[in-house]
Amino acid sequence: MMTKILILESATNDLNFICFELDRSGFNYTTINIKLIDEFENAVHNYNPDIILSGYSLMNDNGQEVLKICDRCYPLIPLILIADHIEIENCVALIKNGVSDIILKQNIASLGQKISTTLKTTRADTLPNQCEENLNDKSIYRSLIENSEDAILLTEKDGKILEANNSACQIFKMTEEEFYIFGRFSLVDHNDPSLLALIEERNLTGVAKDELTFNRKDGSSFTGEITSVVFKDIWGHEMTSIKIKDLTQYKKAEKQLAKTAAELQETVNSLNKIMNASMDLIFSVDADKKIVQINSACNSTTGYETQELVGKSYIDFIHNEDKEIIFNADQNVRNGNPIKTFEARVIHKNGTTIYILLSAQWDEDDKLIYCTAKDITEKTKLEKAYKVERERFLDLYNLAPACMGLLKGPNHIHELTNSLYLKFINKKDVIGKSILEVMPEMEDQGIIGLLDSVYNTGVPFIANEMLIQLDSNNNGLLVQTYMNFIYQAHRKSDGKIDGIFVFAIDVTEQVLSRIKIEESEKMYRQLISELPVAAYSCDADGKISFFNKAAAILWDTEPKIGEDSFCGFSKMLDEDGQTIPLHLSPMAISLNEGRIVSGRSGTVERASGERRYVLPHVVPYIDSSGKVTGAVNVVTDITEIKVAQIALELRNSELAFQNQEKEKRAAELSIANKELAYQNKEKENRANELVIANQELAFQNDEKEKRAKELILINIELHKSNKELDRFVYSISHDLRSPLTSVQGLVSIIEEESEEPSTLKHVEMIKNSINRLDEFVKKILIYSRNDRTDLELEIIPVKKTILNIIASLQNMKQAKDIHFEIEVQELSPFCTDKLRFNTIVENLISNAIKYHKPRSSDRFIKVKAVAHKEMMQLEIVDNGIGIPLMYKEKIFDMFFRISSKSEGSGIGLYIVKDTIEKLEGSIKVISQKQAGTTFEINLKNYKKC
Amino acid sequence: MLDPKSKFERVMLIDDNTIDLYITARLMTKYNFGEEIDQYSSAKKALEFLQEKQNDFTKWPQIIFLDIYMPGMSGFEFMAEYNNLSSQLKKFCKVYMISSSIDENDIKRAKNDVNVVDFQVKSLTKEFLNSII
Repeated sequence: MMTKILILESATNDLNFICFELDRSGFNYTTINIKLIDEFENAVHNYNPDIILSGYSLMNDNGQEVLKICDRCYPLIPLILIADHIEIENCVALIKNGVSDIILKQNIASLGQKISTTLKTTRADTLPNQCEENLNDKSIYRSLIENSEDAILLTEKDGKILEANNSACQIFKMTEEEFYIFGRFSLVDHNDPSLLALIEERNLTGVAKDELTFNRKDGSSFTGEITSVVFKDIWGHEMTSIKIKDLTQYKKAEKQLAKTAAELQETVNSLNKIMNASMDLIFSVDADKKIVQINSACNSTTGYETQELVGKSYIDFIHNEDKEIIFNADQNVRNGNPIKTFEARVIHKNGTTIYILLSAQWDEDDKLIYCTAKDITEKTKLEKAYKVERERFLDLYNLAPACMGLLKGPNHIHELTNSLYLKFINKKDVIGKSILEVMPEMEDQGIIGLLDSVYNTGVPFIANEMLIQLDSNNNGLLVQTYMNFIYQAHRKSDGKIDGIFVFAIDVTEQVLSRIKIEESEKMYRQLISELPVAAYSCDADGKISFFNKAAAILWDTEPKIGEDSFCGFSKMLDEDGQTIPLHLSPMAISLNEGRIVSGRSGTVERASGERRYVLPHVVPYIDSSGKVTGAVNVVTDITEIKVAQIALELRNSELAFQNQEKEKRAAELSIANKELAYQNKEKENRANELVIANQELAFQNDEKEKRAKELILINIELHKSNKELDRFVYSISHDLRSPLTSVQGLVSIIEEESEEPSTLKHVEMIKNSINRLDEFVKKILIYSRNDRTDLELEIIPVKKTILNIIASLQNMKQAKDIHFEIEVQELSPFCTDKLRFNTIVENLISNAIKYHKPRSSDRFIKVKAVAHKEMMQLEIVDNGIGIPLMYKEKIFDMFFRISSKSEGSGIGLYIVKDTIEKLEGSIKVISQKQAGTTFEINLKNYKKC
Repeated sequence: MLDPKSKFERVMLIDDNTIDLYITARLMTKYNFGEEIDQYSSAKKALEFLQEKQNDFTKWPQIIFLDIYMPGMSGFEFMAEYNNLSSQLKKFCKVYMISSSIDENDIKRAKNDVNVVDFQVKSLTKEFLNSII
């Protein structure tokens, strides 16, 4: 027969367990399984099971419901409960309410047998037997009672103990019999204040539960939980069931628990303290990445308050660039890979970036990530700064345009070298080697001594453009190299010298090129210096910075370099004879205007007073910025050329004059020719002859022109030897004068000793001739002296001087009856060369005397002189024979005489003009024939003396 | 007209030009200028004479006429040596420089010499001789 079983069980395990047991007991059955109470009624109705099995756990909440359903609809379908554990009281109540049987899971093996029994009982229920039922009930109770761990006692109400189970015996350490004998009162501590309340409650409600103190047989006591229920047995006696649970272990455990809890709290507190005391950040993050807990370091480091952090997503506080990395790390940690030393950036409340070093671990139990972090901002900053510093240093060291190295120890071992150092010495692997090992050629060059000195004294060695010889090609040939060196002692932290810093810069190219420049400058200077043309240079301020020999010769002086300005001439004159001030000199103009000044010749005066004609050519130096930094002047002496030119012009005009004269004569002749032509053939012939003669004259004219040209050439030559001639003239004059004086002496003796009239007459003639010759020689000497000697300036008494001259000249025989008028105004002291002044006045007055009208009353010579601050005007006026207009220009020429009859040598006025020019003056003549002559003279007042 | 007694006992003439020596000596004789006239055509010889006779004042000339331009030793060179002679001699002798030179430098130089009394340009005249006392 097939048994239909309905199982009400929610746990699959338990269901399988039940099915397994059913299968094992060889039961013939079908089954359905209901998991929810709601389906129960329908299932029962549709399936109409023979028996229902139900898990006791389902009964707890809805047991009453199940039982009600069964009781109401299917009272005949038996119900067996399967329980892990069940209280006796509940068993009794359940069975009373209709549960067929209860099976503990530990006794599941009896399931098959129990189902069979239940089914039999149910099927044989046509004749229910109360006794049998009671018997059945009793056996159930017994099994429950016997199996309980709690002490269970059955007593008469407030009377003797009827039954005690095994657990009771063990708890109270008494046998069953002893229970019966001692009774229940001995079990309870009657001093327990809870006892009376318990009994009272039980009497009132039938059930009571409390904790009481119990006594064991051996006198010890324990705390137990007592449940006391009053019930009536089948005979109507009031009975009490007492269950006692030994709470000793529980109490102990409870005490232990409390202690443990306190200790735990304490630990937690101290842990919190430690956490808050930590400088490191400690915090936890939950599964939603929300911050759960933080320590105070989190506040101080991030600047946020606790409430601003807790409950917020930690991602919000991470630097944007680090969010992705953090997200990946987070995933990694949650997969069980804890991380250590993970660097990330966090944004501080004030917006700055904080560097932290994280470690994190996932806690599976708490579903939290525990993190600790260290603030490494300062460290990171320091690291960064250090890195930057280091890179800078390395840059400096490697890119510096200098050889740098560090030599250690007294033997100067290379410890550090930069690339330029290696490149320069052209060696490799020098570190750890001494200077001498790397560069043995240094031994003889004193370098080691210098290094030793720096190492021993600490005094740095600095040298510029030091010549060293280096085997830089590694072939034994030493290359000359110029270096700028610095050797500086390197000191340990204790200040002791342990090495030498070497800095060196190769300046060979600079030095060599400078030497080249210096050499070429020297060559250039030498060239300029030896140049036969005067050349000099001035700086921007016009100070003479250089001049060559030719310049010094031309100037006749050596100016002071850097002091004298613009020019070495004592004076420059323009075309009108006016002095050009220094600041308008060609050099000054060139410096001021930055242009070449050239092409204008001028008259200059040398230190000696000699005048020269020069052609300056000034070229300014202009630097790259367009500024004038100086100028060079090349001065060409064109005096000879000029003189030649003047002579040429003079000759030309003379020739032109002669030509004119000849033309006139030719014209006259031509007229005469024409007149004669009318007379006769002979005369025609003569005319023809005259024409021929004319042609001859023309030819002669040409000849004369040729000769003039030759004369010009001779003139130039003559001028070249002018100087020598001067000296020559001077010594000749002397030598001439010497015999002249002898002759004069002899003539005087003859004159004294002879009384012969004709002899005396002849002697007089000889004397006159000799005097003329002597006069001439004297004048030549004066002229020569004028050119030779420098001015000797002194203040002269003008009037006195003139009077003296006139006094000496009045001895001349022509001076007789001439009236002299002297009118001198000395408005300012007059300073000049006395001898030259005398020469001028003496010559002019003696001329005036000599060329006066021979017979005339009212002959006069007026001398007027006005001395001003700057100059003196001198006027010598006579009413003598005068000078024909045509000779006016020629009277100052050397050896010019108007008539051969005159006594003069033709040199007097030439000397006057020459001397006036020497004294920087001028002379002008106004004359009318037979009316008189006026000489107007201007003389410079030198006034410096 | 002729004084029986000469103006100076001893006169020395130094001139390389013998004609001038002759003229001067003749003038002196004529106008009784000097009793004894020592004529030297070499300044060196004249100097040697003076050096020799430094201690014999009877041979010292009262007047010396000295030419400037002479071969060998010039008048100025003579005066440089003359300056080294004894001061008594220098006090005793009156030196006149006589030259045909009219060069201002020569004249100045001669006049500036402390041992030279005067400079006189040639040719000599009786007026000049008369001016010397």
